[in-house]
Amino acid sequence: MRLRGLIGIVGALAAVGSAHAQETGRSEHVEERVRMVREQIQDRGVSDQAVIGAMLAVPRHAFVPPDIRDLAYSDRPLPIGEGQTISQPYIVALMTELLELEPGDKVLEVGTGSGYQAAVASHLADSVFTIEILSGLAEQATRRLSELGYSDVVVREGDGYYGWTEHAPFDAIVVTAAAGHIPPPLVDQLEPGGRMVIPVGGQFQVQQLVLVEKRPDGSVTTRSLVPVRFVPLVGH
Amino acid sequence: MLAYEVALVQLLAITHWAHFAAMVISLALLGFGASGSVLAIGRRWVAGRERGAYGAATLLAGLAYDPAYRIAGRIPFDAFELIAVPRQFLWLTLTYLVLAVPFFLAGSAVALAFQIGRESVGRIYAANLLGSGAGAVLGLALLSWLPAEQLPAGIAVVGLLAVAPLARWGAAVATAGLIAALLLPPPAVPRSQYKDGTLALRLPEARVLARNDGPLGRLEMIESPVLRVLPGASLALREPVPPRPVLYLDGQTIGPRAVARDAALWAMTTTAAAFALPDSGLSVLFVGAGGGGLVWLARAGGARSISVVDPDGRLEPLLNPAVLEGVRRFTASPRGWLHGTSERFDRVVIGQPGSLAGSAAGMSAAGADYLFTVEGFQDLWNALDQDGVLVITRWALNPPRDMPRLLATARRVLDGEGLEAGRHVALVRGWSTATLLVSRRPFEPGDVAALRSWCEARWFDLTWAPGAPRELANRYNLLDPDWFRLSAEGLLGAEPEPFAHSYAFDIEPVTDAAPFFHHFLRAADLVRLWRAEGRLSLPYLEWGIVAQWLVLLQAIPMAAVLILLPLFVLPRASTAAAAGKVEEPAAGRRPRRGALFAYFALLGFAFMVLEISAIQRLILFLAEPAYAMAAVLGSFLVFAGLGSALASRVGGRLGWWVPFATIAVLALATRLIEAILWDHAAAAPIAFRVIAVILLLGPLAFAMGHPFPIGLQRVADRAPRWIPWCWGVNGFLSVIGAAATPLIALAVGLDGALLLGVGLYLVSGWLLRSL
Repeated sequence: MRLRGLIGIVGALAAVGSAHAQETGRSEHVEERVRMVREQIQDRGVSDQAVIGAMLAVPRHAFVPPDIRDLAYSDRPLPIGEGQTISQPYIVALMTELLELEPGDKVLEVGTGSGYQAAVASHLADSVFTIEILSGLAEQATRRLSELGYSDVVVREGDGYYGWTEHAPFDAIVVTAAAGHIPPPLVDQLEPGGRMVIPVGGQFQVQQLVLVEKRPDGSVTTRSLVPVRFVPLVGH
Repeated sequence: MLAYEVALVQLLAITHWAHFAAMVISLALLGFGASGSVLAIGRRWVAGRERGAYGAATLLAGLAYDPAYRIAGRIPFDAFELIAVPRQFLWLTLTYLVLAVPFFLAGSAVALAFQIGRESVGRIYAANLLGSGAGAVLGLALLSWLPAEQLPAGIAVVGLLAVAPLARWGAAVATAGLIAALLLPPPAVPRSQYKDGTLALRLPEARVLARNDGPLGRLEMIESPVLRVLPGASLALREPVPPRPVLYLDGQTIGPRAVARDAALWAMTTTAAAFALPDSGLSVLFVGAGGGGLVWLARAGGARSISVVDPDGRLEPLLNPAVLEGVRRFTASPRGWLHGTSERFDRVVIGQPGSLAGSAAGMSAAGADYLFTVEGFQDLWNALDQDGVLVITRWALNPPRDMPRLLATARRVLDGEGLEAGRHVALVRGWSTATLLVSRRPFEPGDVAALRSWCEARWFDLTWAPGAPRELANRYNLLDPDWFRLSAEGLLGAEPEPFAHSYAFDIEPVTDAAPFFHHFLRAADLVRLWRAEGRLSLPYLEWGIVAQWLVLLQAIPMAAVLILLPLFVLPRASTAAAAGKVEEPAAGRRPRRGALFAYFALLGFAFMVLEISAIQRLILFLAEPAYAMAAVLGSFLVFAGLGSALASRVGGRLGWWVPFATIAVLALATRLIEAILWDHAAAAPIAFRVIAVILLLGPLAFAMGHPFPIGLQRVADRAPRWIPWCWGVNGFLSVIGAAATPLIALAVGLDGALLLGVGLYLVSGWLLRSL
């Protein structure tokens, strides 16, 4: 596991190590990123090499407000303003792994926030469409993703409740702003066989990840996953 | 000052997630304690200038109320970020310090008043006590009369009007202050950016349709074309949820303002299981109606009668007028109303799970919630008729904590009724909410079949119902393992205790003696979490408790620096004079320093333990934290002050043990009388209950006022140079005691805290012998 992880890290860094990466800050904080991936993500059981490569490639510090950039690679969510957070690195990795993205996939994200999740997903899928309802965050994310060269991420400012019908159906959907219910239009826009992930809890505490799977017959099941190794609960 | 304390608690509740009552009391004591130390140091400078200093301190205190709050409001402290952003601890400390400034100034004014009016100490004391009592009443009144942002200025106006004539230049300064208070735009009441209401206001075209401030908090109705709330809606819901104005209390979601056609939407929530059983023509009681969606659902389902009990009468005009037609409304504390009513219902429904973010973060973990205690559950149960069903919805967070505790509570109550719990309970679970049904009569196969088909139509899981196959528990919303089902099996089975004991969280039922329903994390669980993760996992930490710990941790050095440290710079020769005493030879044997400090330290700590645990306890009887705080603080200050005044006259004539024995007896008697009051006057008008509490606590507080002046008199007789230190140590431990009591109550319960306070008084009585 450790060896494979290191191979993945080296591979990803090689892929990233271009002049463009230097321009966009990807060559900065590399050691911290490697440590973050190893200690926070791989050690907790995320093993998908493509996901690990993506987490290594995306410069998380570029998605964090400048005044707390020194905390960018710490094992915690961080405030990004307007009542929103950038998720803990492990949660981003786990959500991305749960989506089981493959080349050619089309992803919808509702709640762009900093744009970090979309950037990570774009390393695995062909295209990422992301909608942010808060104009300030949408503008920042658009600018940031453009500066970092994420041309395959399309940001739209607006209400994500109705999804993005022009580009539907989607192979995967991430909903980071569910207000107690999952918008029915999003279920409609999920491709049969597709997967939707919803983090549930507070802004700073993802209590569980809810994975919505659409069966080929259109029926839907959910699967609730606990994002920490805290099992078994009983029997000690 | 008391009015300002009450106002601050209210303002901080709007800004943050939890009530910071203990923190406000703690910082008020810090201000008072620091004023004593600073005056002791600066006594030489003050000598001869007492009147001017008094006038300045009094006016500055009046002038400081509003600016202190404005400055504190600009500090970017957010309790929700306490764990994620380390510098929030600094902001918390700074907030604590800034808000203590008016108390420092007022404390200085009180101390100087006593120095100036040595000949009329009695009258000054009486005026101070009267003011304390009036302040508590004024605080409550202002909460009702003024918008929250105008509270500091409103209190400043009252304070300045009262003190303007006291100094030569006072009238001019006070007038300037009054004009400023009236003309300056009120400060914005900051609100955590993570609260539901704050997030709603960030949405496009969001606006506040209504806002009302009162003792129960800030009630708001917010609308936006994209604001849609339907907690726990089924994934089988095909139509989009339409935008509706949403009601918030202190920024936390109450529910959307529903219209008649929303009944179809609410029928797709787990709470609607209340109406899935094959009976009709129901009488329904809603404990809190939210925005009215469930009322519409009950009406659409053909309910025979609908009643709502809700503590907040301000909700009524905000709801759709048609929703309340024919509905009986009881504006009362649900627990108090249920405890006093003889009415019976076919359904008692608690359908509002509250704020998901607040619930997930454990922001209420340190707060008392008397509805879901064993006694509260019993009151809910007693309100059911012979076929009645109790229905409670909670967020279905995984692994579950509050639902297993509710199951354990139901089991406890059903055991007490001599019923087989497993046959009277059903549990329905969706992807985000779970609903517990507890029936007076056993669920019959027809009931279970109805619930089953109802669940299948909504892709909900029938986690538990008597005779229902296990495979129904985990069909649509998959859990691995399904802790909801395992909890039901374990807690409703033959041996619930082993299951509860071995569960990863504390899910034992809570009682009125320790009503911390939302506190699930045992100290041992923290160790397990650490071992499992190699660090503490954020999802399971209860931030309400973390916040209390951090308040305590920053209060200790703060009080040490501001109260104790200044005393080290006191020249030895001047310490007695600093306390306003003439240096004179000590009489009799000198007291041991350790016993001396221990005595005053224990008194300070024990006083706060008894006072703050009384506030938490009396939330049950007085229904709201604001009422409990005002009544308890007012009563303790006035009567303890009276006790102190009398003690300095008669203290020497009593045996050393009399005040301490009296405190012990009265504390226990007060607790017993509280129970009697609860049983006979729980539903009485709030004014009656407040007066009853003030009178009830009066004798105890009066007795608690004795030990401090008795001890001080001993010190004055035998070692006067230590008087400032005695004040300081007492003040220091008072600050710590106020901040520590909520944590003590969590650990040992409210009765445990009461016993601890009594025990500390008895120990200090024993120490008095050696002084």
